[in-house]
Amino acid sequence: MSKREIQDGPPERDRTAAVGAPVKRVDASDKVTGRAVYLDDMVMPGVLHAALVFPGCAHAVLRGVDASAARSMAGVRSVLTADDIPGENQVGVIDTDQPLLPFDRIRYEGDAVAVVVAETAVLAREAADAVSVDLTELPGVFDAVRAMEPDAPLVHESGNVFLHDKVRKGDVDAGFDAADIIVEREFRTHHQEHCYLEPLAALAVPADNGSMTVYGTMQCPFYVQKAVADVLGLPLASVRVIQTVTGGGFGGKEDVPSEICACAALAAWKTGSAVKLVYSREEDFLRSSKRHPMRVTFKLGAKRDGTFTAAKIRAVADGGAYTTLSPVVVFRAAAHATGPYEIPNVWTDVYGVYTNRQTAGAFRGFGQPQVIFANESVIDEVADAIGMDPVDIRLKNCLDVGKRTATNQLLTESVGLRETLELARELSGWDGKRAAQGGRGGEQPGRASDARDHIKRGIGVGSIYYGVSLGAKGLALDGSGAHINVYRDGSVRIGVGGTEMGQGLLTVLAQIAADSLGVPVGFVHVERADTSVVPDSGPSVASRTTLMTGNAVIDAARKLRTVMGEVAADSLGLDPSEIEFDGGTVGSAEKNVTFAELAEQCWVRNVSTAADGWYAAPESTFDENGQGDAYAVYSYATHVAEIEVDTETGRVTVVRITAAHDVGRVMNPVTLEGQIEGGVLQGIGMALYEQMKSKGGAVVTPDFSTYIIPTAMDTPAIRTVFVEDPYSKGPFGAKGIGETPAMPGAVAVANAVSNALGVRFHELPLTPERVRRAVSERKNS
Amino acid sequence: MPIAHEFDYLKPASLEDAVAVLAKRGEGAQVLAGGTDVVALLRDGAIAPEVVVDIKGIAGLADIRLAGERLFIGPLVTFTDLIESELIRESFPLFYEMAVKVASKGIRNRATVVGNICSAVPSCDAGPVVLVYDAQVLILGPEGERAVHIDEWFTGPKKTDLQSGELVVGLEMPSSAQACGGSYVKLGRYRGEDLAQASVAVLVSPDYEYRVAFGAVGPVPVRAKKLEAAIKGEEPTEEMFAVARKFIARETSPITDIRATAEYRTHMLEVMLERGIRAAVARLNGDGPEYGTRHI
Repeated sequence: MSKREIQDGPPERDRTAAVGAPVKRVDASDKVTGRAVYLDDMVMPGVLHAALVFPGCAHAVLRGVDASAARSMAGVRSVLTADDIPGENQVGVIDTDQPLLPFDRIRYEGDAVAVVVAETAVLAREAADAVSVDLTELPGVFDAVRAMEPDAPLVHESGNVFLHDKVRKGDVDAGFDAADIIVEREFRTHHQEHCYLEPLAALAVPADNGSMTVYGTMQCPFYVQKAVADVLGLPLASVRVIQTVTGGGFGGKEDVPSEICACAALAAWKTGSAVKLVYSREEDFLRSSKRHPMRVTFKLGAKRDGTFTAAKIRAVADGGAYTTLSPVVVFRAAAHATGPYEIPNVWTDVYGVYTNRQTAGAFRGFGQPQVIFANESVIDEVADAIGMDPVDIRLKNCLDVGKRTATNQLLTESVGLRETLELARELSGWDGKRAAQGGRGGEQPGRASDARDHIKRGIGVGSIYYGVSLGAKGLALDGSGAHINVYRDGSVRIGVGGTEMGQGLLTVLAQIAADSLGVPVGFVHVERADTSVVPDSGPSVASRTTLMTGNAVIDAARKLRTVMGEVAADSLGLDPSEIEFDGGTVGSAEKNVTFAELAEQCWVRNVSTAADGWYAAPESTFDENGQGDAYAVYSYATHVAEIEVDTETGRVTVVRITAAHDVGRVMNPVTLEGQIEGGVLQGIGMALYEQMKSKGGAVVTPDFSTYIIPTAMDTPAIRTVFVEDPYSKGPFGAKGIGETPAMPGAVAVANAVSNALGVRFHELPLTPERVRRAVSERKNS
Repeated sequence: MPIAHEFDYLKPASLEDAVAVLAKRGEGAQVLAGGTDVVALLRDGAIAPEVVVDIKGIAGLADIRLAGERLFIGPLVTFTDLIESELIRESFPLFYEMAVKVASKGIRNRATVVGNICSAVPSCDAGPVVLVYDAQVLILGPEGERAVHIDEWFTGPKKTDLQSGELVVGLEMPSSAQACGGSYVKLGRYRGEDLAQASVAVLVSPDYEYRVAFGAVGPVPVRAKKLEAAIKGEEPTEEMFAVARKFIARETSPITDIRATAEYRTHMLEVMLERGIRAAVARLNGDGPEYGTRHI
């Protein structure tokens, strides 16, 4: 493992006992013993249950809702429609095109037109089924490219193309003129479902003075607070949102929980009772957002020596029925579409298009895995055409300090891509395996007696970069707060708006706080987010929370050290500049007190030991030509996939993934490894298995018997390796890690299959049928 | 969602009591063993029995035993029981090879072999295996005992010869199968738990008499007797496989659904049959892959 020492030093102290150590997750015991209370575990006397009414069509004029039969059922307390909403009927987080309960139009199968409240969940479901909906069905549009045509049915009156982000750098025609080889291909990816363990769920409890408390499984409590306040017409201060233990998110619980929480809150407001709403897995699949399906045309020019000269990209993203988070996803896809390479001439267009399909929103990778499949595939084709090794061509063009991105951003620090490529190459045994196996199609498979003759092996690579946090199009959301309170016994409580969704945030923030205050990590308790007591830390998305909220914790700790350090200096007879906070003691080597003693001294002297910290993202830009410093810093990763493919069945088995990640600084090697392994599996899912299918807007893969994801049985050997190229503005040098593990794996697998078979693939997933077809077409050609 | 439908629950202590209840309540009664199908169907509202008769309170129904010339498998024998049984592993290893490919460990711990053939979905894993083992289904009903040959058992998708008021009390099959080599090849979409998109069971005797059965490629799991006759006495050769392949279309009727296309299923039956026959013959001759291998 290559580890670089931190040269510039982090913004704060670099005494790290906890940071970098394999500290046990603070929530591990509760989760493995079953003590953790998830939303559906919450019991409340007198709680009512809600169910949603789905009209069961994808596009229609909504003429009316007749709930008389449902209302007359014993035990049914209320049926609410759009007319009952006291505030704004709106839950869109960026654009206001998404009603909570549609009132005139149905735009996709997951649109719910009414909320039924009853004494039991079973009764609520029965009553919801008894609601009749008067509709006039409209022709729908279920393909984004079709939706761009002038005669396509309109999903919204404003037109189906609702986003267009572009990048214009250099002279792309001149770039292609200068190329010796040009490869242009079209790629397709499909809806991918998050499949978090815990489906969406909410519990709303009316509180004093007309205020509302909402519990739920979510990533962004302050989004939910805003949506609930808007829908109920309440001030934000009257809405308290408490994140319960959350069983996974992956982006699927960024904005979508606003819908279920607002439905529960509306029902609680109307009935005056606590109301619970829990989606079945099928409802969750129907109503949650998905990874955008994309159609990507990628054209790449290169010199014979492998130097890239130009790239032209056109991508069409199916945003589904509403805008949701598409603007951020489309921006990110546009900014990163060329991959982590310096290309002097770039012309990129990415469109966001409405269809009558499920909404697409945030999903780990945020629009990038789709364009990565295109760019990393085409690079392999170019390498193949000029007889260059895929790793070599990437090393030849890869971003580095002093190089410029597609948005013409000059990279000045923390670019560990080259090391990830070199480490992945070395640890996977790339050079030997590439020479020995797969390669240019291999021999024809025959019906041989040796059962292994039909097995071909392949090895492939994928590299990525990821602008950490929200970048130029999300600056307004990109601040982060933290509150630290030191009690008189020296124990420490941290309040942040960032959320634990399984990724390990509570643990990592405890580590950051511990080292920032020089106390053992066991002194620190990190609160789960409750909007009434924690500061807004922005959304827990975009791999931003360790960086942004970690820096806010450090800021608060610095303030506390100043205040408490003065008390320590005074009582110890030292100059404040001599005071060190380390290992649970404060002072100098000769004269010191324990941190707990100092806390007590502060309390006795009436010195406040509470502090607020804040961190705002540095300025970033993205002009009308897509030029600018789009993101403050980037994380980098390379995955090498080794696969076996059975040429008779078309089945691909992933044997080993080598995952090399530049994270700036490893905060916790165990939780980091876990995040990477999970991401690797999501990449394999995208590569081989996952496609949310629908027919006329109706989902035909509504559950885990029809929509499959890799299981433990499908998990290959995973070797993770970390590169630490520190980021001077990151907490202890850290950048972000949330998304990157899910990004390079899919295309690395696809490239490995191509290596084994000598055929290229332009559509995911690589199901056995698709692979088998490619094998027989190659045989016949 | 919890089960919305209300029903009586009975747990008789004897076969006689169970059959009496089943006879009395007729079509309104649903037998419960492992419950992996029944509970899911109840939750989905796909069945709405008046009474659920749990047979887990009856002693002696979980036996696996060799009695004379017959192997007996009781109605409470789970797939895990099959996997853990030395008798099965040593003498009827095709059951083992099938059982390890069923669903997931949690399901295998509860789901029963008899329940599997009683649910009789076309993709049931046990179907092709009990077909090639030439099983008899032992039934107790108001009229007393009767036995149905497995060839007559499956009458349609999710339909069997079991009559209202009857209970399956076991499976019996000739122990002569001990001398045979076998294989079970299951087509799933991944290594995780999956329903068979196609399945093939092969049993070959020392004098190269074959029994072949297919699952999930027709309304019921089915013995391919014409195919068996066509390759009888043949060792596996390219010519023999060419003959065998010709019969696949005659003996099966695969469909296209969300899990696989008819074309792929048809193609895979060829691959699976060939690999299944090769493995069964190699095992017969003592040099095949270990039982439990996936083959595809």
